[in-house]
Amino acid sequence: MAEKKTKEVNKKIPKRKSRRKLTPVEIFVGNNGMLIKIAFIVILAAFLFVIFSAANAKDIDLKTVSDSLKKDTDITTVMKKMDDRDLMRFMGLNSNDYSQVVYYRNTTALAVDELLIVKTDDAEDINAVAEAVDTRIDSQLKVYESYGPEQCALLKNAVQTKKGDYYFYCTAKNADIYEEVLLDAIQ
Amino acid sequence: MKERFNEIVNKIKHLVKEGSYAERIGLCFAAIMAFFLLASLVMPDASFSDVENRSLQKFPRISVNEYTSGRLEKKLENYVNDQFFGRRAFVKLKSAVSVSAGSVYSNGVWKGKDGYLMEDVTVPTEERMDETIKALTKFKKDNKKIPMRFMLAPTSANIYSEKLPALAATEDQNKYMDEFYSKLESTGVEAVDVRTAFNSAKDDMQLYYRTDHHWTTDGAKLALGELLKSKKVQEKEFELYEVKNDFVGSLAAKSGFTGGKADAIKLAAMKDGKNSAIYYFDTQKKTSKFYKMSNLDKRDAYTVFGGQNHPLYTIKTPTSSNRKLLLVKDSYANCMIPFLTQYYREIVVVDPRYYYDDIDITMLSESVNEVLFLYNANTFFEEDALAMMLK
Amino acid sequence: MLFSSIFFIFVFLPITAGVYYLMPENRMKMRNIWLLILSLIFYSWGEPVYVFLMIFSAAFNYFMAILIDREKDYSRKPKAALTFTVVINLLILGFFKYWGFLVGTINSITGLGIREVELALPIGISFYTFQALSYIFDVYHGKVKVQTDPIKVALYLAFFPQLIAGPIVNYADIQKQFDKRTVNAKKFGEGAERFILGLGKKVILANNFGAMFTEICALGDDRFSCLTAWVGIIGYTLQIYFDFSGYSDMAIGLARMFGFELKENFNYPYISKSITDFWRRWHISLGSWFRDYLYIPLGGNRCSRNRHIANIFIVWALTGLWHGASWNFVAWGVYYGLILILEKYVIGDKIAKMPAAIQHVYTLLIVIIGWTFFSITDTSEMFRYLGMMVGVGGDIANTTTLYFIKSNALLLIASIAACTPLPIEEFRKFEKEKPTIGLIALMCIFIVSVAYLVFGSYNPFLYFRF
Repeated sequence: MAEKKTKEVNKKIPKRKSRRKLTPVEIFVGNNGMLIKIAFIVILAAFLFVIFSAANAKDIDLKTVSDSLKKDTDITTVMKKMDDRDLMRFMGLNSNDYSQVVYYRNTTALAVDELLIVKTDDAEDINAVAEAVDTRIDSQLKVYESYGPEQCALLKNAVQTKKGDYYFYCTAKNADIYEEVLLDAIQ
Repeated sequence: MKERFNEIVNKIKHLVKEGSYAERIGLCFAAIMAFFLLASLVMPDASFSDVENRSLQKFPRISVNEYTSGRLEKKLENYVNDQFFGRRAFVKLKSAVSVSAGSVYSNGVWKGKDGYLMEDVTVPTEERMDETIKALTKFKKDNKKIPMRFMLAPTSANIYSEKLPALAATEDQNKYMDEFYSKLESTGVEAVDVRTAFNSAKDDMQLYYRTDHHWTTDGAKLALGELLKSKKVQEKEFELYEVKNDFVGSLAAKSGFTGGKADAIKLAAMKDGKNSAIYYFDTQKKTSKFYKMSNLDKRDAYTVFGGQNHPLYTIKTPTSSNRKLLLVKDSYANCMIPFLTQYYREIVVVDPRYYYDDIDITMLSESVNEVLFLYNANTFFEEDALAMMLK
Repeated sequence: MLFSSIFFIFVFLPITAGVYYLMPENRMKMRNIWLLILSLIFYSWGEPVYVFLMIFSAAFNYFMAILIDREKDYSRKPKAALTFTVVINLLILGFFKYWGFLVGTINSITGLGIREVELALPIGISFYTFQALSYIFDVYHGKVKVQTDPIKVALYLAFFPQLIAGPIVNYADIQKQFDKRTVNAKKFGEGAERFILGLGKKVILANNFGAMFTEICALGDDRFSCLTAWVGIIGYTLQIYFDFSGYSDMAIGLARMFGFELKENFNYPYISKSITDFWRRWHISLGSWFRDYLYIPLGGNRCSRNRHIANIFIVWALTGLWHGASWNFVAWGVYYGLILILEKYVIGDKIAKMPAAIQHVYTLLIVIIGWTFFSITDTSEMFRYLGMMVGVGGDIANTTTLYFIKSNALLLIASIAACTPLPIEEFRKFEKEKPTIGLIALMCIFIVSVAYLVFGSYNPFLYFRF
């Protein structure tokens, strides 16, 4: 049995110039060069695809997004559009620091629904926005933790997404639907 | 493991006694690294730096998401920086070294002559100035009958520019102030320009603190005189009392320079002056005291002049006047308010950074019949809140 | 993570070195694995996602080197495997570093409007790709034996002292050190001294000049002047030297702390007597890489004169491009290519005969002007600055000039002296005569550098809008 195996193995190993003992890895690679090359190309392509799609976002005017939100979703029944002062007051963000901002909020008492889309031209700014949103969610949770289970649930399930130059945050029942509107526009 | 440990301890002992030069360097370096690592670990974390007036980074929350976004790493680095053992001593050391090497500028602050520290001049963007002028125009138009004035106070580096370090130059604050005042003419808001009065008086009295970015009570009083002249109102008599003589202000902390001279803080009181009732809308508290005397011992003693971070408060004084003033301001006005109260029956004080209501409604409900904007040029040229509030 | 940060010096380094030295002395494999793990942590600290790209590069080049070796051994076509490997490596580098540049250039020429995707540049990719290529080429040419231990290949690419900013280490120079290297307190100390000097160069000298140059660039037209522009660019000249050579010093020092010997990357470039001389002293590891792996394979100077000139041109355009994905870097490279050609064929002999003073001034002028192309990416800004340097659009000098010279006087004097070998030679003599004081002086440099680092994090928020 052992003899048969050695003969087969010997058939696989081609003639060599050197004499040294080969490690198993070397033998494997020597026999499967094409396979290995293909494997690496596949892995690389997959990696590039992932990186590319995460960073890829079309350069669009957020106005088209807010128009779509108004037209195609129920957002206006839940929230009202906010202005720059409200942005500063509730989110602590200065709209002058970013290219474009869309901010909606439910102004009825004890409501936590809100939607924020920020478009920046500086990757650093996205981190600042993410921080501000985290702070907002934390402080809202503190406010409602003792008497607002529904609000807390909504806050804990808030959608926060970063894509290219865009940051999306939404606390609402249909947050994912609103997110789709943005993603459709920028992908 | 234990053997290895002992092996190393013995090795170190040997190096300390008989190490070569290179070995000693290695030992010292390792010792310094270990010392600061352990000391920073052992010492409890500080949560607030009163020198810097900010909260220090706590140990951050660890999560995979935080790590992959890069935020955890930044927070950890900030944590190590903020909690580093001997931080304050190192800051002083660095200042001492740079000053010895000839540095006269640090973190936006100039180290001037006669123990003066002066804030560098900030300049506005064209955009920002136009936004503000537009907002002021609209505001005046909506309130045609109410007289409005704007006092833009120059800063120390402008008036005392001769005290800037030799050969140093700042941007030309006067140029931008002139531009603002000329654009202001078209808005209907009257300009109150104190620069001439300041430049005449600057050698006779100390108009600005030597280590703080505010004007002194003397400076505020002089500015008030100019405001009253423009209203053609007689100036009343005030006494100034020195309440602290070792005031070291914000610029010393900001720059790290230690050479600034300490100053006196003066409070003003009028003989036979009427007491005021102050009401803060956000905390719904009433008081009759302007001055927070306990703040004199705090880091930022300028806060003795009160009024910190309230979006809206009213001051009612039973004077003979029937004027009700809306005062839109930054911190420069704080030491002027006590003077102002004796000229108005009511002052409604608004800070645009925190005030989110409708200014027109507030004016109506308090029956305001006069408006004063009071800002210092550096703050004014950098901020957006006023334009936002008036829009 | 930067070497010049509190976190690195007082958390990362003591932990890495501490555990390393605790490990038994003969367990090189254990120590290598520890270094590799910490290097990956170091890299992922700044690039949590791109660390996978580097691991991919390590795995890919590891397997490909073995394949090339097998192809050679079996007399098949190793060149095919070589080409494949080189192309993939350059593709990765090209895509992450140059895609935006390529697309932008095509767009501006053809007006096509292809979408530019903003991808973050993986740090160190230029360095580890070039190191990988050096390994691959050396295996192909039989200059080195293929490395079958994946840990050592990964460590070669990822070793944290030289991963981010070089020097570029040829595999041939370091291969033996993975198996056998001297690790003792003496080398640790030597490494520490080198690290401290590099740290001081970067934090005390370079950063201050950087601040000065930024201030000068930001001056409005009314305060700018010809001499001020010169003071500014001289500041940049000093900054980039102390920054880069300081970082290389720290890299060499750190490597030595772990027993590795790296080659020098700088040799007092500012005392050069010609541009040819300069490029033997500046970023030596890059120059040698391009010489060994591009210039010589293209034919070097053993070919027709025209071919030789073309070779120099290609190599220098690429050298410029290596530094950054922008036309001003290519211009900078071509600038030097042209001058080197001139020195080789036209003026070289004449310069060699000139008195030393003229040689130095000639070299420094060319270098300083060259830095203008390098430092200012925006073309209109660059021309404004260059114009100012020859007196267009402003006065010759004004008080601003004097201000910058005066407030940086000590710094300028110390730095210019430090461009020559003199201070170090004197210090070495001093260390021999008075070791204790030498030690104290060294530790003072260290402590002052730490003070500067701490000040960098000092961030007063004084309600300044209040």
